[in-house]
Amino acid sequence: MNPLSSPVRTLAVLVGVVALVYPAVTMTSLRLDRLSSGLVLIFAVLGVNLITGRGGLISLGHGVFFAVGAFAMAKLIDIGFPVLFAGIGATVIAGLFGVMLGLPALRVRGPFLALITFAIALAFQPVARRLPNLTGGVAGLRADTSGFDPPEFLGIADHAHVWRYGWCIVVAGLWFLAMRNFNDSRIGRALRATADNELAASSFGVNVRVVRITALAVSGAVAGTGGALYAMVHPFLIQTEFGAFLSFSIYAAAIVGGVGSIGGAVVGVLVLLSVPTVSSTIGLGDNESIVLGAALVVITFLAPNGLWGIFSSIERKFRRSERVVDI
Amino acid sequence: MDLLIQRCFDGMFNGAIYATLAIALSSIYRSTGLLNLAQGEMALFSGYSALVFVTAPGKVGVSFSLAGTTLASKYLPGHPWPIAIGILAAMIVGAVLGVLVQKLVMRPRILKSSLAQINITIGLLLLINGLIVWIWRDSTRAFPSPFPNEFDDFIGIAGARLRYTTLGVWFVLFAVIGLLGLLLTRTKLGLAFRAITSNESSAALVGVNVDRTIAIGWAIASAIGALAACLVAGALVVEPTLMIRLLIFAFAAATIGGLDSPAGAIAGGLIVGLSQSLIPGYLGVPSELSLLPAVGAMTLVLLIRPYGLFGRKSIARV
Repeated sequence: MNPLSSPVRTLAVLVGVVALVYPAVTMTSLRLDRLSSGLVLIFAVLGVNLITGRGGLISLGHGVFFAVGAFAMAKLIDIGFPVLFAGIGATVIAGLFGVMLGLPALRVRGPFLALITFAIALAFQPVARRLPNLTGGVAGLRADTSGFDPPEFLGIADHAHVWRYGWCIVVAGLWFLAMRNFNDSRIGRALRATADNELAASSFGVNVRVVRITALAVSGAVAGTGGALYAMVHPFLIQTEFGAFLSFSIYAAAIVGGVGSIGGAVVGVLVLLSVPTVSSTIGLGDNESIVLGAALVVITFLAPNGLWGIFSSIERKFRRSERVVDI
Repeated sequence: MDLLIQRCFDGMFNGAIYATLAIALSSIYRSTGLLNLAQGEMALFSGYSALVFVTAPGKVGVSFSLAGTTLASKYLPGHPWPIAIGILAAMIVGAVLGVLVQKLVMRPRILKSSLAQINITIGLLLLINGLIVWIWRDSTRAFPSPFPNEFDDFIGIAGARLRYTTLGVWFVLFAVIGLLGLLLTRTKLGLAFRAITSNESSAALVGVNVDRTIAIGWAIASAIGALAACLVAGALVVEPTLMIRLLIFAFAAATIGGLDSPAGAIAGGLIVGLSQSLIPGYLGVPSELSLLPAVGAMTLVLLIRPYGLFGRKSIARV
């Protein structure tokens, strides 16, 4: 679909570009890094978006893949990988975790799979605390990305934070493209079929196991990339940051944004980033989970397709004259 | 030998708590097909309200004064109440909370899809936990034990200590199971409840008020959950993260036991509780990781016998 096919879309693209460039120009190093470290949650949200929205498998444990990506990044740099390859390695490792933890998904259905992922989300932090070799244990771990500086010709040598922010945006763009293509690929379509009716899909020749495993690998990998970038913009990693509530927040963001379409992941992470402000504005202080939980309940009632579902139904009204049949 | 018995006793205490919570979880699951991930937080809210009922206003030790105690002492006659009454009152709070949750958010339309169910229960988990932290702050508080729990309140058996608290929670567990059994088999409400469990639409056709019966089911389950929270808080302390870990153990107990019988819940609770106290002791697994065997066992059971070790296999047409 052409991104400029309707006035609403054109406006959205313009607003999006301005919104992406504005913080890079105006923010201080500290604030921009903090913004980036929040924005990278979008990768984990994208992972939930794929597996829950397309695959119909509920994952309450994507914070685990995010954390695995972050710690793997730090550890790979530590043993001598260049930053870029460490990031790719972290993505692959998180993808393998996705496969491993997703194996129950081949047999266990619906709420019980959600229960298993819920348990994994809870179990991660105590396990990470007991593995000081991999995660630094209670002391934490530092991802040393100091060698990863902006190249000379960009002329932003003293603006490393903009360089890091730029990487987050570019990698996010690449993953969005990859996700869109994956959703339209043979496996992506088969994944949707297995979510709608597993038996029917398999009788049409879809290999449900292969499709699910692939989707879980991709879903874990994208969250792992997010973790790797997180380690870049927020180099000091400690297991207490990756508790179960991170996983639940990621899930809540994915659902509030809308899991039907990858655009929902953007909305979801924006909601997640604005929750602290909303929370302190209405006098709840730093109790962000009240706002997030309430949003999740309300959205489930009022807009089963999330906020993105609301936006796209508004946008469709503007395009009605084109007689487009949206499938 | 005495160490083994001691560990078994410790495991039995946990087992009884898990079994109690598992009964609450499985009774909601059987009537509505919902795994209530927010059950622990609902129970914890009731547990905190029990603490409000039994605490005199003013500073508690070195920590902040407990929110709500001033209000409670103003409007509740005879406040602060003895712990037994406090727990009963907390069970009523739990029951009201259960009905509220069922009436407000667990609408039949929502209960149809498992995605919506999980969304709602996770949303409630975040919401209620946030509220607890907001109201009562993120700190650990002592909770009076309903049973004699001094240093020397135990029966010595072969050198091991069987604490009165352990006996107490087992007594409560059997009382809960007995009362629930009487309710289900001897009353009209129980008959309606069983009818809904077996076939909701047929039950509605023969005149069972499905909505009201399910609401009562939620009230009972939440009251049992509140009881479990008070019992465990009485043996330990109360803090905002108390129930979320406990919930996983209880879910493990419920799935291992098969989600459909009190005997299964007891067996599941014992398996989880004993493995939690024996495995770290004998296999050298640190006790913080005791969550892992429970999660592993739960996953295995779900993979191999999805209807639980003691459950009946249900056969469905596709």
